Amino acid sequence: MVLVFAESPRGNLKKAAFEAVTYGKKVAELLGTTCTALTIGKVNGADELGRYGASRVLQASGSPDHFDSQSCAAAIAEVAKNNGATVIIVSHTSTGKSIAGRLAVRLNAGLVSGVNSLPALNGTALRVKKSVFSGKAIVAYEIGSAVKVLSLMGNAVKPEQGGNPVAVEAVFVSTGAGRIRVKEVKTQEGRVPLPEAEIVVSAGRGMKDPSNWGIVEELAETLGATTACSRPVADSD
Amino acid sequence: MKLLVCISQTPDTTAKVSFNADGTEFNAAGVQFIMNPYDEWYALVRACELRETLGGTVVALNVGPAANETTIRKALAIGADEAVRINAEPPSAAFVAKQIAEYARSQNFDIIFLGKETIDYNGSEVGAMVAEYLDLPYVSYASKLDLNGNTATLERDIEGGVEVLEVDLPFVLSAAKGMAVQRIPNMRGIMTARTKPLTEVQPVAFEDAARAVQFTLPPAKAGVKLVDPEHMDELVRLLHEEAKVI
Repeated sequence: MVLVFAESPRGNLKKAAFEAVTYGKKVAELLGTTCTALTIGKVNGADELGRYGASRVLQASGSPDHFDSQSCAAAIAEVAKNNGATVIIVSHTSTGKSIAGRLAVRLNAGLVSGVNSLPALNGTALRVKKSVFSGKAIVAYEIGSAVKVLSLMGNAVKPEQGGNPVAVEAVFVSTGAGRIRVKEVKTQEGRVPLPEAEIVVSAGRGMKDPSNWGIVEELAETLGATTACSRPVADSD
Repeated sequence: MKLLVCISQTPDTTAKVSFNADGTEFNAAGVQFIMNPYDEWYALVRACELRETLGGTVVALNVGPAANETTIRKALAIGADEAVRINAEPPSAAFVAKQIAEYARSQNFDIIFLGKETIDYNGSEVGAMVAEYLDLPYVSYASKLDLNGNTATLERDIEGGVEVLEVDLPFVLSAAKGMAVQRIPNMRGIMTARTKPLTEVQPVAFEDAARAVQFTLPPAKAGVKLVDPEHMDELVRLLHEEAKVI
């Protein structure tokens, strides 16, 4: 079984979750098995994950903590073990990156993070590709372990609807609460976060100076887009 | 305060990326190697700042061959008190994580710092793995860190915002932009770095289940289309018909 952790920041499923389930469904087809989606905590519209290819949607109950990677990873690992998952997929987001490495250690699994295309089978090994050297090269990995963990790069697959909503099943996990105490979440209201954006207006060093950035923002606003920039611009002060 | 900073060595950001003929190995010929910028600018500098105000020790740790010692000495020049090199040519992030965890297990560090990712494999894997091996909390993409006694307050970059959180020592963090300001080693630092202890440790055996088998270069990028500012209709047409974004 392919288990997909469907992330739900502040109780809502985002594009990353739909992408991950779409990808999970395709990996499941490749392996001749089914795709199960897992949410942690109360999530609005979790049954909709069925539309993207999940044949079961599980909602972890007990006290797993969505904000704490340790608690979250423990819950996912427990569900994975109890349901005999052979591939576990998370989104390559701030949350997913904190969890993927933990899952790999916990499940003695091979991990490839930031995969950007569908895998291929080589015997029982899974061959997956990711972009490295900040996009300047592509590397193919082979994962030979019985359990495999993948984190899926945002925008690598397009969410596809084909199925129907499925009833959400509550599963109890024995995981304890996390040790990280979140005090506040500051979000930029009214702005679409980059991973969620449909259109991105990006610019680089050619803009010369921050004072010239206005036209980028103006264009983005007109298009209903989000702005982005190249690595040298992001890392400059 | 006992702080561990894990440093990686990576090709310079401007290095030309190429591979051997059968695409199985990175071609290091003519490539300049540097300390991974996120490890150096943010993780190492913030650890040194904390040591300067609270006292204690900063240990810089690298998993790599003897050739990495120039990079390790730079960490000492920036301000680490001592360094450890785990003598191996690391084949993967999982290998590195295992080595760091095995070294740190008996050392009782208060905080283990890493950069948010390396600029070569862009994996962001090691911090979470180390935290799991050591049963510690992990704060990834931390852009701010303050300590008050045994409790740390951090800001962490998330999609479209920032999370403010608290955690008690000990814990693992990965550092992102904002945590500190890059330091250029001064002459005194460079001189004292030569005599600071650099210990070599042998690696533990570890078989990684995921291995890189084939490197390729991405297809050449399509050319850039320049549109004359006098022909805005053309820009609109291109955005509409070719880019299909409007």
